[in-house]
Amino acid sequence: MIIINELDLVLDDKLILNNISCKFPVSQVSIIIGRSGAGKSSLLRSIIRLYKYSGNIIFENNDINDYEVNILRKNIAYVGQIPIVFPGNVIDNLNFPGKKWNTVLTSDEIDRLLQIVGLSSNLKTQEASNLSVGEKQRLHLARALSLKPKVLLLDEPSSALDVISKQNFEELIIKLNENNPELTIIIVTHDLDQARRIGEHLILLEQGAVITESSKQDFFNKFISGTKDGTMLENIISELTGVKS
Amino acid sequence: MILPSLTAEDISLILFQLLSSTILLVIILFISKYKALNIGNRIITAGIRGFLQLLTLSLFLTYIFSITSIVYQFLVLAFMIVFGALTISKRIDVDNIFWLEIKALSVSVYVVMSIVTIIGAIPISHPEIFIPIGGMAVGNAMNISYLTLNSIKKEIDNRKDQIEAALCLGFTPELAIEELQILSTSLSTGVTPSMNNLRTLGLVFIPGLMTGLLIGGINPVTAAIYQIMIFFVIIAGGLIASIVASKLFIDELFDKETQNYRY
Repeated sequence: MIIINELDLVLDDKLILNNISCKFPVSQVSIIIGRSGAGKSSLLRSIIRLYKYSGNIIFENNDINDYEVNILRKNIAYVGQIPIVFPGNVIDNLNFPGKKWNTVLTSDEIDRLLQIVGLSSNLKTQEASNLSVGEKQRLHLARALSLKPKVLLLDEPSSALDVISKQNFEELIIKLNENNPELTIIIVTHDLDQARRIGEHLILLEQGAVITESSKQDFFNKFISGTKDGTMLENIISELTGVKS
Repeated sequence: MILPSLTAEDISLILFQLLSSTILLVIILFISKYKALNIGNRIITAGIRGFLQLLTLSLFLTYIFSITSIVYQFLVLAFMIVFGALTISKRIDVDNIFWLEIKALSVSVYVVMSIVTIIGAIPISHPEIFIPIGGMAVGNAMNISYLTLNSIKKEIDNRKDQIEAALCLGFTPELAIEELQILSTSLSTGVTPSMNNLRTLGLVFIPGLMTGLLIGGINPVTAAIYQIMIFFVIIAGGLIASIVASKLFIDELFDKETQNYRY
């Protein structure tokens, strides 16, 4: 469980996040949704202390500032928008975190990780830089999972993917959530349909503030359906669903 | 009288040297303008500055070489180190670069010069040997550490995403830079010009110190061994300066709390 209390974030003298309070329950897929510039990615990056903020972020009953930053980032894995691979082949990439944590993955562990993210084991010795964008994204995710994190942060994970790869990636997230009841997954997206397909707990951000936080049912049945008459919210929702009102 | 008297032959030689320097400077300025290198003003300033510094040095050399106290000789090196650090601080725009270079150059030069002095390879009672060699150690440590730091910054700028991905896996900035082989590549970049000189020593490159020793009537074998030792002074000093400077430089480049790249 991650709890955020009254979080403010200022970057380059601009208020990016304004008094954010919300929570991300364990074993659920939480979605942070909002338009471009709403502050979604900044919120995610604050959770792994890539930014200095004011307020509190609580992880497993402790303020995240009480953790050594490296230990925090081992427990809370972050996968950014653009898949990043390191020099070397797929195995080298999966073993890269071990250089910090003094671990070497066994062949079985490598096969298991590749299977989880849906990468063929034939790719094991392939240069990571030669993989497709979709494969790189899966490798990036597998590398993050190799540390057995308690929380997985995904920042627009399918923004660089085509429709088929996007669908496969969503199925992968659903499966990951089903098979790992201890894992908290937090995804940033601006795609309301994606939020509907994979989200269980939704937070709508606009201009750095939380507009609403609720379960998927409440979000779509009460909040979205109840928003009418050309309000600011309707405009936001129209933009997120790609429908012009 | 500090200035020696000049013969007619000396004066004509000086004139020819000034003429040659002017012709070569015109060539450099032409290339700079033609290829838009934008180094015209810098080369003129550096040339005038270098000439004045050498002229001043030559006037004071007799006095400097009369200093036999080890403390004073190390103070002369300290003076050189300050100017070396000042030069780098104007080339790399990072906070505290002057102080980190002072530390790096001091550690490297004093360690290397202490080794050769304690062993007895360079007699401390001969400042006319100790100070020029110390100057070579400072100058080359300055150049090598500058090339290293410059390469580190360029590599980090080009690979920001990979570094952030490593930080997100719990790496410290220092470890990320080491494991992504940015440090080793940059150290190699820094030391490569000196290594090239070492490789071509005697074939392409005939160093000034050896030439001076030979002209001074020293046995060629002794001169060659002296020169080789000087090269190891240069490379070892350069590497020590680069390693110390890199460590302090990386600490400066990344935020202590978030470990984010600050530049």
